[in-house]
This record gives sequence, C-alpha cells and structure tokens, in this order.
Amino acid sequence: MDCAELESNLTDFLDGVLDSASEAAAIEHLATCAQCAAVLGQTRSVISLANQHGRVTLTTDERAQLLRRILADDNLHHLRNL
Amino acid sequence: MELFQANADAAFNVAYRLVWNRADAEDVVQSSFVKAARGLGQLRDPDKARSWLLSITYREALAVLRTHRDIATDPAVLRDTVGVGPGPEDLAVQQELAVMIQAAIDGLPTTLRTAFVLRDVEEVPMANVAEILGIGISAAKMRVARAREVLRITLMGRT
Repeated sequence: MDCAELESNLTDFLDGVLDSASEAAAIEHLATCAQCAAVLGQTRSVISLANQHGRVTLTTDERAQLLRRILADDNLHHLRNL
Repeated sequence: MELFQANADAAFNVAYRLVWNRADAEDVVQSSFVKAARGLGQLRDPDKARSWLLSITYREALAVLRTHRDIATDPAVLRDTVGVGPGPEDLAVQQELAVMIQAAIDGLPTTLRTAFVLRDVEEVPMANVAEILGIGISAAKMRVARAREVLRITLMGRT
C-alpha cells in the first residue's frame, strides 16, 4: 500500500472495517512512512478531541422545558411510547 | 420518555449545528420528537430508533434553514454553552481547547459538518450516518474523511 492508497482507506482503517489483507498492508505502510503515521495520529486526536469537546448540550432547565413542551402537544397520542 | 432521555442531547447537537440558534434548535427538537411519537407505529426495527429520530431532526433543521437563510453563527452563545471536562485545575485549558474545537467544527461547510458531528461527536455508525443524511455510504465516508482532514489541518497544521 502506498501513501495515496492509505489516504483513501484511512476512514475504513480508523473504523476497523478494512478486510484483513488491506489492514495488514496499511499497518505495514504505516510502520515505514512517518508522514502517514503522523496523519493517522493527528486524525485520531481530532476525533478524540471532537468527541470530548464538540458537543453543544441542553441545560437541565432547557431539557425539562422541552420535555414539557413536547408533552403539552394536544394532538399527540403516542407519548407513552416515547 | 426513553427515546427523549436517550436522544435529546444528540438531536439538539445536530439541530444546533445546522440552525445556529438555541431557540430554533429547541423548536427543531420539539417538532422532531412530536413527529417521531406520531410515526412510531411505522418504525419496524426498534434498534433503528436513534437513526430514525436523528434523520427526522436533520430534515426538520434543514426546513428551518430554508426559512432562515440569514441565520449567522453566534460564537458568544457557543462559548457560553461549551461543555467542559473534569477537574478545576485544568478548567481553563479544557475551556480553551473546547472553544477552539467548537470553532473549528463551526468553520466546516454544512454538508461536512453534519456528517462529522453525527459520526465523530455522536458516534453514529457510518451506515446510519448515510441513512440519516439520505446519501450512500461512500458519500458519507467521503464527507467524514474530508471533515476530519479539514479539522486536522485547521487544528494541527499541514503535515
């Protein structure tokens, strides 16, 4: 596997869905290519940072108000299933 | 209530990243859950409830976007609402990091941003990301890969 092939397979490699032969080829390439290894490491960091800090969440009050608004919908007949 | 408790934050996150306004994002979440509750009988596979709900949220948010073309990003609100990490000792660093990452995500084009938020922030499997966005899995992978690349270069510089 060369750098271009690694780049096009990076998402599948990170998701662990490459077939075993391609995964082995990717690992072999990464062991000998410092640039691709750096890209892989940085991409993993981006994913990890986004996962830890990328979320905009409801406050407790907003969440409670929102639930009240949903429950107040007069035409809703399936709320028990929510 | 289980669907709401388990998915309200994810739905809000997806909605907010598109409409850029907490009040509109709350409206989107409300209408999404109302639609979900009304259509729950049509859902064949309960395991797909999260994807199904988020796909409704995505469509609802797009509908709001179409009527509010002038919505701008609101970094001040963003800074106020950023979630922070654990101990107080590194609070400042965590906040700074969070603001930086939020800003980088905000800078992504809409199509890449939603795919990235679904896959890497909400950890939705790639097949479900494709389903939610109504695109093929290859297109979903390309959007996520491109978003990761843009963020990597934005946050860490070109390798």
